[in-house]
Amino acid sequence: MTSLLLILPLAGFILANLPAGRAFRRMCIVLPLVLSAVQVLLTLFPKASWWTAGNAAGLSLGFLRIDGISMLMLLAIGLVVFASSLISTATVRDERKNRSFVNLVLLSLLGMNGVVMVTDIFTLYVFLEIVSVCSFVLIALQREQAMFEGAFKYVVLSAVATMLMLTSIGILFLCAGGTSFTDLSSMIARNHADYTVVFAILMFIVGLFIKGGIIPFHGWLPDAYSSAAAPVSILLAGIVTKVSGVYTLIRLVVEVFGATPKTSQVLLFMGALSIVAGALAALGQKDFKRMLAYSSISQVGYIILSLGAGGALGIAGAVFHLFNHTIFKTQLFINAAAVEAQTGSRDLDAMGGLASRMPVTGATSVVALLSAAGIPPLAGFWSKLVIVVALWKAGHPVYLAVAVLASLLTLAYFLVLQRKVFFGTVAPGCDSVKEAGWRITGPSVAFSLIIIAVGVAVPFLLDTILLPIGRML
Amino acid sequence: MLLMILLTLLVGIGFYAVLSKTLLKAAIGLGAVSAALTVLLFSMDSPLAAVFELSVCAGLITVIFVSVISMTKAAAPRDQKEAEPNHYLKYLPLLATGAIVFCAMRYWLGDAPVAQATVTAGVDVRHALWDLRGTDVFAQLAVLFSGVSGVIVLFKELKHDE
Repeated sequence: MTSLLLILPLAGFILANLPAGRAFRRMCIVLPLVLSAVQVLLTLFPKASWWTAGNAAGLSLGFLRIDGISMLMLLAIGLVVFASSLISTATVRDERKNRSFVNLVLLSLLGMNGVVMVTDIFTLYVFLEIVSVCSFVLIALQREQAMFEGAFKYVVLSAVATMLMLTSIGILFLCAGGTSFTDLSSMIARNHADYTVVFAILMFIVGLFIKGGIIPFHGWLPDAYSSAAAPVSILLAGIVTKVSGVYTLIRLVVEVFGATPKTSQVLLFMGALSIVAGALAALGQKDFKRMLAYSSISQVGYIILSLGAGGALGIAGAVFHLFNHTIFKTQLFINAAAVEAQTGSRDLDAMGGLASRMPVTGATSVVALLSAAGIPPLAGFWSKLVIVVALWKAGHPVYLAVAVLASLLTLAYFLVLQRKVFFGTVAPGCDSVKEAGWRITGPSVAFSLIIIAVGVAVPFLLDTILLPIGRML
Repeated sequence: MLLMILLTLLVGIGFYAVLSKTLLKAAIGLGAVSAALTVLLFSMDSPLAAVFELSVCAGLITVIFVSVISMTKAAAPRDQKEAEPNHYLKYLPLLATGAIVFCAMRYWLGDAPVAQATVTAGVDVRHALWDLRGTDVFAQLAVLFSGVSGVIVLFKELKHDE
C-alpha cells in the first residue's frame, strides 16, 4: 500500500481544513507528527507484507515503486518532518501560522514521498513542483522582509530550474515516446551520442543542480535557509533540498541517464567545486544559520563527488552520505533553532559560553559537527571513508586529495562555530539564557543517538543495506 | 514560417509581461502570452491542449488577476514618481544572445535529429487522464491545494493584519 504514503497526507490536509470547531483544528496540529511517526515505523520494517498489500488488487496509484534507496529516503523524510513539526509547536506561537505550517508540511510530505517513489519523469516533475510551491510559501510564512527576499530568490531560480527540466522532459518524451524511466533509459542507451539527447540530459542535470544548491547555482540557498523560520529551515536544509535536488540526481543519473565518462567528469568537477567553495564561504560567515547553509553546499558536494566516482561503492557512498548529511544537518539546524529561541540572535560574535547554559544543545552540537567533519567512529566518518575509497578505486587521486583536505576545512569552520557559540566565557547578555524546552532538545538528542548508532553499526549497514543499494542501482 | 512568427511573438509578449511596471499590464501581457500559445498549439495539431490553455490560462486566470488587481489601490503619486521608467533597449543584448543561442541550437541540433516516436496517437482523454496518468492528476490536486494554501498564507493574513 505504497499509495497510502501519498493519500494519507492529502487526507490529513483535507481533515485539517474541515470547517470544524477550534478544538478540532488545534488537534489537527498533531497530524504531521502522527503521519511522519507512522512513516518512520513502517520503514523500519522494509520487508513487511504491508508494503505490497493491495497492489495485486490494483489498488495502487501508477508509476510507484519502493526499493532500498526509496525506503532509506522515506525514513529520512519521516524523521525530519517529525522533528520539524515538533519544533514548530514550540517556536511558531501564532495559531493561524501554525495551522498554515501544518497544511504546507502535509503537502510537502506528500510531494517528497512521491518524488522518492515514482518511476516516471513527468510525474517526478509534478511532485517536485508540489515540494517547491510548498517551500516558497513556507519560507515566507512569518512574512518578514528577509523571508520574502529568501522566498523570492528561491522562486526565481526554481522557475529557471523548472523551465530547464520541463524543456528536457519535452525533448526526451519526443525522442522516447514515453516518460517512464525504462522507456527513457533504453532510448538514451540507443542515442547516447546524439546532441539533442545529450542537450536534454544536460538541461535536466543543471535544473537539479539549481534545486540542490550546487555551486555556482547556489544563489538562493543561503538566503532561503537563513531567513526562514526555525522549523522551516530544518525542513529545507534537512530534507527538501536533499530530496528535490540530490536524491533525484542520484536516481536519474544512475537509473535513467546512465553514468557515462562525460557525466562522471562533470559530477566530479562540480562536486569538488562545491566542497571547496562551500567550505571556504562557511569559514567567513558571522550568522549561525548562514554558516550551516554554506556547510550544506559543501557537504552536498561530497555526495555529488561520490556519484561521479561511480560503481557500486561510489553510489553506496553517495546514498550513505546523503542519509548522514540529512541527519547531522537537521541536528545542527535544530541546535541553531534552540540557540536562536533562547538568545534571540544568530550573530556568532554576540554569543559565547552557551555550553554552560545549554548543556544538551552544546553536547549534541559537538556530536553533529564531529560527524560532519568526518571524525571516527561517528556516521559521517564512515560515509566519507566510503567516498574516499570509491574515488581511489575509480582512479581519481586529485579529487580524493580535495575530499580529504576539505574535510579539514569542515573541521575548521565547525570548530570556529563551536568556540564562538558554546565554548569560552559566557558572553554579555547571555547570562540569563536557559536550555531550550524538551520539544527542541528531544529531537536533538534523538538525532545525536542516530549519528552514534549508525557509526557503531556501520559494518552491518554497509553489507546489508548500502552496498546492495549501490549494486541494485 | 508561421511557427517562427508565433514563437517570436510569444517571446516578445512574454518580455513585455515580465518587464511591465504595472500589475494590470503584466496580467494582460500574461493573457496575451497564453493566447499566442493557444494559436501555437492549434497550429501544432494539439487542439485539446490549446483549448485548455485558452480556457484556463488565457481566460480564467486573466479574469482572476484583473479582478484582484481592480480591488487594489494605485501606488501613491510619490512612489509612482520614484519608480524608474522602463528602458526596454537595455534588454536588447539579452534578446540578441537568446537569438544567437537559438540559431546555434538549430544548427547543431537540427529539427528532427533522432527518430521521433508517435506521441500524438489518439488516446481517449478520459483513458489518458484516469487510467494512464492517474498519479499525475492526483499530484495536480496537491499542487492546487499548495497554491491555495500559499494564497491564504500570503494574502488573507495580510488583509487580517491591516
